[in-house]
Amino acid sequence: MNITKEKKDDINVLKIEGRLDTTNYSDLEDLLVRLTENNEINILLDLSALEYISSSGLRILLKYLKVIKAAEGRFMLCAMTTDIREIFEISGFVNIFEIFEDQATALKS
Amino acid sequence: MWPLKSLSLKITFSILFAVLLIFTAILLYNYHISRDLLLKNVESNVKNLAYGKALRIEKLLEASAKIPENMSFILESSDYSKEELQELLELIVANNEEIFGSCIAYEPFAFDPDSMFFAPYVFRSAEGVSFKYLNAESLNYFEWDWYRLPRESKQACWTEPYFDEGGGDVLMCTYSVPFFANKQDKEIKGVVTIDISLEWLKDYVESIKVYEKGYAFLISGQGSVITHPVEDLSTNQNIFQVAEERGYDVLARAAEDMVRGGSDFIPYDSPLVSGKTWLYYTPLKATGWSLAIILPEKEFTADLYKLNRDLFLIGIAGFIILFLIVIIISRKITKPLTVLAVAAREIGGGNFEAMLPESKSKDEIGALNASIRSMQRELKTYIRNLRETTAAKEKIESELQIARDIQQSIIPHIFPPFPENDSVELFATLNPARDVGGDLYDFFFVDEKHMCFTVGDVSGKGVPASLFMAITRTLLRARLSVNMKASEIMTAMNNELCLENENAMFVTLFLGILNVETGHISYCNAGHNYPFIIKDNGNVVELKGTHGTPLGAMPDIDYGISEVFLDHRDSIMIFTDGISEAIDVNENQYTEKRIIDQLSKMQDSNPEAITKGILTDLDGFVGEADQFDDITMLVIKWLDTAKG
Repeated sequence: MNITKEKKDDINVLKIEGRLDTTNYSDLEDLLVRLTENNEINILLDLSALEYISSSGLRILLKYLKVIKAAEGRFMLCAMTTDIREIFEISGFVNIFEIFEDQATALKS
Repeated sequence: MWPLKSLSLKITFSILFAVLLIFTAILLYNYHISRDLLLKNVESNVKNLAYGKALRIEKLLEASAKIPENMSFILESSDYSKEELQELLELIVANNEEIFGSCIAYEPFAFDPDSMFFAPYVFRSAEGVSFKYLNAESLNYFEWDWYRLPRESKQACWTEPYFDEGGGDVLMCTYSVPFFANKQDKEIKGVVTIDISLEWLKDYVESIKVYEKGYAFLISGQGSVITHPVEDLSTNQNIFQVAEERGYDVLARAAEDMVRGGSDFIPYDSPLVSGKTWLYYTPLKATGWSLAIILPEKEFTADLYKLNRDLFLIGIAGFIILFLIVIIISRKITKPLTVLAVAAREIGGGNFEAMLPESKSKDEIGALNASIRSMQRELKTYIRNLRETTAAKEKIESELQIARDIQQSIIPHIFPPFPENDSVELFATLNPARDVGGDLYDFFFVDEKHMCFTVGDVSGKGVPASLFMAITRTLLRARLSVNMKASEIMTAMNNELCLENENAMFVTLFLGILNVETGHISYCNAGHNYPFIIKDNGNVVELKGTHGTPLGAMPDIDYGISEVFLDHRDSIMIFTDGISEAIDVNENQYTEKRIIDQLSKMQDSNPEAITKGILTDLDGFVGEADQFDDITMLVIKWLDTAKG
C-alpha cells in the first residue's frame, strides 16, 4: 500500500493505492492520528487506486469517521471502484460515510 | 597451496621459500660475476706472462741477430781472405754460446771468379768448433731457404725451424742477412748467417708453467710448431695440418690469426688437458712467430668453485638455523591462537564459562583474545535475554493455545449436532489465521421448530478480535429468546456493542432463523457478505440484501428483516470473506464466482462434503501463500420431512 498526501485548501487529500489490510492498516492509522492530533480534521480519502480493503481497514475508516465527527470535522471518501463500493454497500457503510464521485465533487461540497 | 593445516608451518614454509629464492639468486649472481672477474683477471695475467716471455725470447734472438748484421757491414766495407773469413767465423761461434753455427755464403763466382760455390761454415760438433766449406757436393746452398729468402727479399730474415741433419743433428733456425757489392743498386754479394739451436728455446718455453697442467708452445710465421711439450709435434709439424687432422675449426681460425700476428684469449679444447681450457696467443714481432699458452679452466676456477661451495654450505647452515628460528617463533605466535581456537570452539559448543587464556600482550593476538572475551560476555547476556524472551514467548504461546481451546469450545463443534432431527443436516468449520480469530458461527434451537444460525466476522484478527467475537456470541445466546425476531436481536446487540467502543471494533453478522418444518428462513444481515443458496437442481443463488451496518459500528440502527423459503434438499451456505478474498502467491483472489462454480458442482452433496469440497479447492488455489484471514463456513441442508 502507498499513501500520498496533498493539501487542497483546508482539506487533506489522502490517496490510497494498493491493498489496505491487516498487514498495513496501521500505516494509515498512524497518518490519521498525526493529522487529527494537529487538528487537521478535514480529510478526503481518494480511493480510486485502492484495490482491496479488509475489515481491519474498514475499522480504521470507521474509527476516524467517529473521531473526526466528534471534533466537528469532515471525513469524506471519493472515487471508489466498483469492487470497493460493493464492500461498502454490503457492509452498509455507504449509509454512514460521505461518499463522492470524485475529488472535484468532494472538494466543492 | 599446500595442504598445510598449521599456520606456523605455513609461515615457516613461506619465509623459507622466499629465503631460498633470494639465496639461490645471490649464489648464481655471485658465481657469474666472480667468474667474469676471474676470467678477466686470468686473461690479464696470462697476457703479462706471455708478453714477458715473448720479450725475453725476442731479446735473446735480437742479440744474436746483431752479430750477422754487424758482419754484413764488415763484409760490405772491405774484402777478406779465406783465412780471415774462417777466423772471423770461428771467433763468432766460439764466443757466442747460443750460436750453433755461422756461415758466409757468396753469390756464384762473387768471391772467386773461378769458383761457383764459396761458403765457409763454422759449427759446433762433438770435437768442438769445426770448419767446412759448403759446396755442390755437400750442399747446394743456393736452393736453401736461409740463402734464397734474404737474397730475394734483399732483407734479413729468420728461416723456418728445421732439423739440421748431417750438420748438428739439432733443431735449428737460421738468421740470414744479405750483404751487397753495391749498396745503392742492392746488388747482392752474399749472405751471412747464424744458426741458433732451438734446444734452449724449447727448454725455455717448456719452463713456462701455467698452473699445474697448463703449457705453452711456439709456432713460426708459417705455422710450423717450433716447440711443444709433445715431442712428435715439435718435429716440424704444421699447426694448420694439426688443426685439419683434428678437424678443429677453433684451432684453424686461431692459427690463421697467429700467423697474421694477432693476439686473443679464447676457449679452447686441448687434447692434452681434460676439461675446458683457454688459449692465449701473442706474436713475437721480430721473428713473426707466435707464443701460445694453454690454461686449464678447472685449475684457475678452482678457487671460484671453492668459494661457491663454501657459500653454499654457509647458506645451507644458515637455512637450517633460520628454519629452526622461524619454527620456534611461529609456534610461539600461533600457540595462543591454538588455545584461543579451543576456547572459542568450547564457547561455540555452548560452554560460556570456558576459560580463556590470560593475555596481557597488546598485539593482534591480545586484541583477538579481548574480542573473544567480549564476545563471550555478550553471548552470555544475549543467551540470558534470549532465554527470558523465549520463556515469555512460550508463556504467551501457551496462553494463546489455551485461548484457542476456549474459543473453539464456545462454538459448537460436534457433528451432526442434531442427530435426532431428520429435517436438518448441518456442518460448519472455523479455521483462524492465527491462534485465535475473529470469526464466529453458531446454531441452536430456539424452540422445537426454530433453529437460529449465525456467521460473523469481527474487524481485524487475533486476540482483540477473538474477545469481541466472544462477547458477540455471548450476547446472542443471552439476549435471544423465543419469538424474538432476527432484526430485534440485532438491534439490541448493536446497541450493546456500540457502548464504550472507542476502537470502532465491529462485527458483520448474518443471523437467520429457520423453521425446520416449513423451510422458511427469516434473516437479518448486518453488513455481512451474502450467503448462497444451493438449489437442488444445482443453481446457486446469492442471498442479497443488507439490513444495516455491522454491529458495533453505529448505534441506534433499526435493522430490517428479509425472508426466504428453502425447498426440499436446498442448502444455504454462510461464510466469511476469508474464503472469497483468500489470495494465492500471485495475489489473485479466490472470488465468489469460484465459490459459486464449486457449489454448483455439489448440489447432491451433504453439508460436510460441501464444506470440505470448498476447503480442498481453496487449499489447492492458495498453494504456498499464507492464510491471512480466518476461514469460516456454515452449511445447512433442509429436508422436507413431509416429502422425505
